[in-house]
Amino acid sequence: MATQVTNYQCPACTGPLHFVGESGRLECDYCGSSFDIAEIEAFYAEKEAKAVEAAEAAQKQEETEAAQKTAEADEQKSAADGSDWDSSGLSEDWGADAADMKAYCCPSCGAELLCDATTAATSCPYCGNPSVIPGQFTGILKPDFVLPFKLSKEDAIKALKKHYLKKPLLPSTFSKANHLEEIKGVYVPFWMYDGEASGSARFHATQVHTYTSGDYEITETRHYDVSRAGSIGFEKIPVDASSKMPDDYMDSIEPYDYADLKPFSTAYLPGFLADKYDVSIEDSRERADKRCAGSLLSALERTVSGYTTCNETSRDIHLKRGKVHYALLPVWILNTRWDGKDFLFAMNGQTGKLVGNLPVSTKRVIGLFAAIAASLIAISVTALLFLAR
Amino acid sequence: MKKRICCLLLVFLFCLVLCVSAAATEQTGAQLSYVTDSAGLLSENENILLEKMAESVSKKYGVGVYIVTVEDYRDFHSEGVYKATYTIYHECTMGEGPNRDGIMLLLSMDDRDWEMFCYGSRCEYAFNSYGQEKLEKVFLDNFGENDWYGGFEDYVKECNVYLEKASIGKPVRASLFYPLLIVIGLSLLAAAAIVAVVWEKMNSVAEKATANAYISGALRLTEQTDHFTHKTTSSRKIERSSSSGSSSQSESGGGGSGRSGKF
Repeated sequence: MATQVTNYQCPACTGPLHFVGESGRLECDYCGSSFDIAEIEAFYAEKEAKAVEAAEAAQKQEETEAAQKTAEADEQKSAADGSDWDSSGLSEDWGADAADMKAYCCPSCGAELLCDATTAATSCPYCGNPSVIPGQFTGILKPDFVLPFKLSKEDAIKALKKHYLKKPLLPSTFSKANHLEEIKGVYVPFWMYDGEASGSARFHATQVHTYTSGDYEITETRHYDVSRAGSIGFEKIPVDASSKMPDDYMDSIEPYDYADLKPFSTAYLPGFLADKYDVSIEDSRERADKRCAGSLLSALERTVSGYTTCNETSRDIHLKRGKVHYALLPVWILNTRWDGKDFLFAMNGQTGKLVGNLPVSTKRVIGLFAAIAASLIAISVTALLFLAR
Repeated sequence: MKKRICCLLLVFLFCLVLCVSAAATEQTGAQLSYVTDSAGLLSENENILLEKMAESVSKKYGVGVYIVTVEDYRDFHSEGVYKATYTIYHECTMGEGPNRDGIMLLLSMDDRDWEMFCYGSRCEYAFNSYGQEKLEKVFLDNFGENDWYGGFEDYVKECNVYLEKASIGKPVRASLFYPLLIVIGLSLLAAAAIVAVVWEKMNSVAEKATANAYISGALRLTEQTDHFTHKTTSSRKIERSSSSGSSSQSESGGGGSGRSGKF
């Protein structure tokens, strides 16, 4: 069941390498060396070729040794007194979980890593070395692009602390007593849709003109039937392709700056977690379609100007679907726990935009309401009494 | 003819007072009596009765209560009845006490204009803008029916009531119950709106409905039509403050305040 895992190791000292967003290079914590992505890719391609040769030779040797061991085991069994440990109750059947799990062998310490079927990059819980599973990105599953992390874990913690500021309704104990349970940098799989939306929309618009005539105020409303048609192109609308990631969080940390998109390489992954997609292109398409239609409609509505009100009455929108790209985008996921509840925050690993819903203190809501209401009442009543003097 | 002579006499007196006041180093008191009927609206008896009544109220509370009638206020100031009353009040050094507190009701008969001018802190305490507005309702009814004595009598009597209330520290003031209720209600609503906005900031997660950040190029508009379909009109009667068929307005400036209108 064990599958091949790659640990990017420092060519100088064999220490684990990890990708650093600030420098855009792979760095070794042990000897301080740093390497270009291309340099490491070439080094590992060569190493891979040698490993394949060695694996073939080792397989032959293993077969010979296995035959010898079987013979020895039979001899030992016959010599035992018959009182062996009873392991008949243990089951090898993983049931439905087996389909969602995979086991890998850590190349650094040899420990077995049990991961989700979609895990593409992780770290070994025993030796802590960053491990990449290149098999998750082979063939048609290989991403087209990767957007490397630009911001570090420290940046994410700072952003979270900043997120707590200027929130008068946040319980005072939340920022002090809550525990940052987990911070993980994840390359989240995204489908990126190119396409075009075309269509028409009708609006009911009004122009309101008020004037006085004698003792009467006249309000004249002119009604219009407004029609607009047009088309608009889209490039790389991102829709997250991981069922583990909440869609609203992934939408909220947008936008990403695609100027930094790089052709995919596993060398960007060490030090971070990565998943392969588990939501298909077809299943994600609906969300992209909805956003395309929404953008066309708002663009058409923006052209309806010079009116007092404008309300949509009907729409007819068609979508021309284009190319779909597969990319890994950087997200920092922060989990905190407070008052027995979990709070999730997500930060765009490129731009630093952090989102997450915060708890609200009822006492503070009442306090803020009372303070504002009391101030307003005091000011307005004073003004009223002054005017009435 | 008699009226015209009276009016000319008042103008003459006014000019004389101007000269005297310019020459005098100190002002020594009112140059006019409490009731000056240049337009000849009152009989001699009525004039005497009103004079006594006004004098009594004025001396009792230290706030002069004056009645002046003229043919045309423009003889005193061309810029309006307020300015004319103001000019008469000051040039004739009207008012009681060192602060010259006093209230003057002027009728200008040519265009049926009236002005009620209030001067001095004591007077303005007794007759604030609400009080003045309420006071005018007492006499305008009578003037509308050419009941001059009745109107002036009501005016002096009501002034007595206002000044008495002011002297015991309870001047005539508008009821603040409903305005307070409205102000408190609006303050609570505003506070709720502010709290709702602050609360909204606690939630920063929401699915996106558009993809505006990923638009390539601009919108290519292929059709753009705006058809006028119909027109609807609604009208609302403008509520104006009025009393006894006469319109009135508040005025202030030059250290006094007043209300004027037509009767």
